[in-house]
Amino acid sequence: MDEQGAKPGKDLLDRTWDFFSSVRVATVLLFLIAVASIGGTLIEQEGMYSSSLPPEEFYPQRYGPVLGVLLLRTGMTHAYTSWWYLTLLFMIGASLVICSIERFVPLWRAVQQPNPAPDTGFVRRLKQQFAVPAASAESPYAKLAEVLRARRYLVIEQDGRLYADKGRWGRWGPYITHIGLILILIGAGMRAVPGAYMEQFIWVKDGEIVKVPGTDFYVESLGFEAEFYETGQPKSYRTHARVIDADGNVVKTHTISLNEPLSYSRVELYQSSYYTDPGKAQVAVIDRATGAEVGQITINLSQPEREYTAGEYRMAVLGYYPDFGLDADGKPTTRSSRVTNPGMVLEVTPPDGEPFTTWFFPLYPSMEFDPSNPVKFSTLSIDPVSTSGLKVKKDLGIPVIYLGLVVITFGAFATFYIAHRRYWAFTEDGVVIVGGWTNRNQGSFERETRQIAHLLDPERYAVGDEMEGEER
Amino acid sequence: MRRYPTYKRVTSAITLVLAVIWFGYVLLWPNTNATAGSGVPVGGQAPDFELTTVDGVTYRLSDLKGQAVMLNFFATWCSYCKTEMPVLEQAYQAYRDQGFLVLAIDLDESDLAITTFQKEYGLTFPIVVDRGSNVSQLYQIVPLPTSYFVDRDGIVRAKWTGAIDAGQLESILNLIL
Amino acid sequence: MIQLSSYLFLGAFAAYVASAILYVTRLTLRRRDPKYFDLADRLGNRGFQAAVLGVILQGLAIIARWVGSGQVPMSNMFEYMSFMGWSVMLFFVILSAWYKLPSLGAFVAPVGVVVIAYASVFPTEVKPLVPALQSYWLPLHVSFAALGEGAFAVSFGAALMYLLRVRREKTSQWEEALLEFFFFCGAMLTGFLVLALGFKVAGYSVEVTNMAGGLAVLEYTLPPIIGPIGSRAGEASFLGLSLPLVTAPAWMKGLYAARKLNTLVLSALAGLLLYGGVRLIARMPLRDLGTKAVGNMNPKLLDEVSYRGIAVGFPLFTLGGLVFAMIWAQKAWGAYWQWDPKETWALITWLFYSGYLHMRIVRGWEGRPAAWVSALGFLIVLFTLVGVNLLITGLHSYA
Repeated sequence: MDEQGAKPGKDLLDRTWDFFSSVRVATVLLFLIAVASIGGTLIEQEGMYSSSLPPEEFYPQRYGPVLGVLLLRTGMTHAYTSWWYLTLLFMIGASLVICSIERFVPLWRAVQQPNPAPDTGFVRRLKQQFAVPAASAESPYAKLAEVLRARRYLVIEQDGRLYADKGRWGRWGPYITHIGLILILIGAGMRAVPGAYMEQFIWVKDGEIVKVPGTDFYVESLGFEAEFYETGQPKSYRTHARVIDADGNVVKTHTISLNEPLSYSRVELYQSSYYTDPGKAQVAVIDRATGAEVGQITINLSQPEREYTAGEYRMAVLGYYPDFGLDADGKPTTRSSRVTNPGMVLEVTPPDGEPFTTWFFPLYPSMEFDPSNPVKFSTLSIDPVSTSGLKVKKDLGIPVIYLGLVVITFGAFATFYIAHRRYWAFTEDGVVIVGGWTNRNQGSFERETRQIAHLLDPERYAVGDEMEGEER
Repeated sequence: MRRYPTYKRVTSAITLVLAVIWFGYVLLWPNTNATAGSGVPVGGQAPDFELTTVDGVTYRLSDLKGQAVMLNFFATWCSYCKTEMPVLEQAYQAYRDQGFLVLAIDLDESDLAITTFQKEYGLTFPIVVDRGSNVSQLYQIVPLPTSYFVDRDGIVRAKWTGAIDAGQLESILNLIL
Repeated sequence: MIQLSSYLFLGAFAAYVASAILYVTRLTLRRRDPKYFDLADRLGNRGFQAAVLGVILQGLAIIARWVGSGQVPMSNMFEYMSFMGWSVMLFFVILSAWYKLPSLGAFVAPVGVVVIAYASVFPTEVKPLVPALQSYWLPLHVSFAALGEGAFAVSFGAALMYLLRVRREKTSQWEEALLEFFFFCGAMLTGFLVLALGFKVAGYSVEVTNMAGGLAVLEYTLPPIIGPIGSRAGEASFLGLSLPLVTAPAWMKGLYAARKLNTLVLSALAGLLLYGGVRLIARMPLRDLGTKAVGNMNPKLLDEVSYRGIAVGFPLFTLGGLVFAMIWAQKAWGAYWQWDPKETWALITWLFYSGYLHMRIVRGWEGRPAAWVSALGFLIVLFTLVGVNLLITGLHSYA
């Protein structure tokens, strides 16, 4: 066997490890994902464009035949779920995990199990240096330890040497942040688990009870309110709602508004939209000859009766068109189910006389086709009825996301706001020689070191020499 | 021996395997955009719902297992719906003994409109009202009429948009009866 | 109370302008002749005091507006951008206290002035909060994000100084061109601000016929050199010129496309004038002027200040721009992330600065490359704040 030569080269597994544990690679990945995210903000994404065309037709139309097809093929139309974006996410996830594993154990040893008595040459080579007289022969570090402890350092005296440090959390910061990011990726990924994610939309009219899709309970709207400022800007949107379970019991009452969703059984209902249509019309039936009111009727424009009575007049509803219009042949019809322009055909039977047929448009009561009719109508008031649009959302990954967010906050602040500062000291001929090291904020550590030195030897170490920026 | 410790190699191996699976999934899946519950693919379970007729009779789709159901989404103002109604009524009469049910789902209209329509076309199958259009939304109905054909196990076997004629209806019925 | 806030705000703006002038003068004097060093030092001190005064006054202005309007003053472009300007000056003051680097003021104070001036272009009236904004998350999200971005701005200034300082060593043509481009962009931005504020103060407003989009007339607050389709010459005038001179090309869709193009073109012209003017007077490219300005400053210190700005700002931006934003989005819209352009650009900003922080521990990437990233990063911040609103619309259309 040749001992000097054939060191087996790194194989695929080792090179994979090298790749994902490299900070260089991680940095490149970060910039790549940043750049990859740009396209999706410039090109309208699938699901976000307002057109009823499917993507295969929309994009060529919007961006031209060449560009449109290119966008579709490359996945740019759904950039954040495209194969290249998801691959980058996978890679950054792998990098997060492997970088952290690679550095965790050595960091643990270095931070949590420091060596209080390294080579004196090491101490002398540290960036911050000062030397002060020993406090006494038996306990040379007494004063030093006192000063350090006052500054919240953890002081260890061992084998005639001293070690002190503080701010260990600052070293763990980056790894805490990485764990938080992994949690966020997991929380987002949980959407793919069947049953963990659901998004629906329901419309609930005032007073209506609607089954919440994907669940076994119902939501009832006790009324929707929209309030506006004098300027016309919206002030608030609210739905007074009740949750009714499968057995018919009212289990929760809550006013849903923006920023205050209703939660029940792991599902949330968010105030998302609304529309208001004419609801009930209060109509006066008037004798044309005398001008006297014969009676009043209340018409529920989404649920009209078959027959109405006003005084001694009977009115039968022959036809009702909630969204009145004329069809291709010019015949009356309704264009949709929504009450936008209601029109009715009534057969009116007066107490004394022949029944006659007339049209009535509650929103335009003065529109008449036959002014010789013995009665006319006047709309006294129209009560609007609102339909509230609620987004139904279930996402079991959310607690994980929230946890991840808390963790990365803690990690980010720990990383940059807490510096790990360490001092080692040894004694030589009655002099205590101290070396200091920090992982960040060299400038302010230098200041702190000077202040400590100043407390121990005021004449030798003056304070006030700051890092000068300019030449003189 | 310059190879890395076992735990590193195992992790690398797992990473590579996951990478292959991930890449494969991501490349082969046509559109990884998934909002759960959207779209009703043929061959999939018909989403359950519960709606009531004008007379207060409640129909829940899951309770109808064992019957071959045609969910006909319509509105009284839609001309093609009117065209196909007689065809539906005829088929219902012919096959109801074999367990065929036409469940017409009206898009949120007044009782008056529905009962008038029912009388006008002499319809004997149940018409439930989709108040708030939520079920239509669940089934992603855009054009009317749209019909979903659900077999006795609750699986969607066919979907039809636009007016259907007797021949076409007959051939689809073979799938679900 | 709102009126008081406006006065305080004006006072703060004046203080910032004074600070910027003092710092720039200080630098000019130092470079001219060592005999001015003492005077320069005194100017530097005054500049610092002016900055501190401005920060205090604007802080009071914010409080006054809060009290006077009954809502947190962070709901429209004016309020947000002016808070960010305050954040820039605040972090400048803080970092100046940690590091003795008065020359930094000559680069950062103008940035603060520019941001505040930009804020002033927008309508300043207090508008009541729309339902989506009625939440305690609003001040939390907006303030922490703005604080983070203010710190990034200071880092930008120091990074620019660093790049100008280390130009003596070999620099590639790309870097030279990019540096000069930075100055040109600064000129364009300043040009835009001078025009916009100037015409705003003069109350200039003109309506021009518009046949593009859904509006019959389009209001211009700058002279309409480029008018919308359907406008004819003579509808407006400026300096005797009959305007508009041209109409926007037909392929430009969008209600306000013509107006935006007009603003862009006018800004570019003003920027060219300014840039050209300064270059003529200085008789050298602006980057050379910059390098003269930074003289023999300690590059290590500049590098450390640049790093420190991002180190301080990053956790703040993470908390405000991502964490609070995501939690609030979940509460308001039921979705913590929807790839809305503004959300996505905030993420791009975050990723970019994460990249910067990782570059610092890669051998060979810590010095100049990292400084470039810091400089570009701030442009990304500006794009997130301004570009997204102007060019792309989405959920975030209030600010």
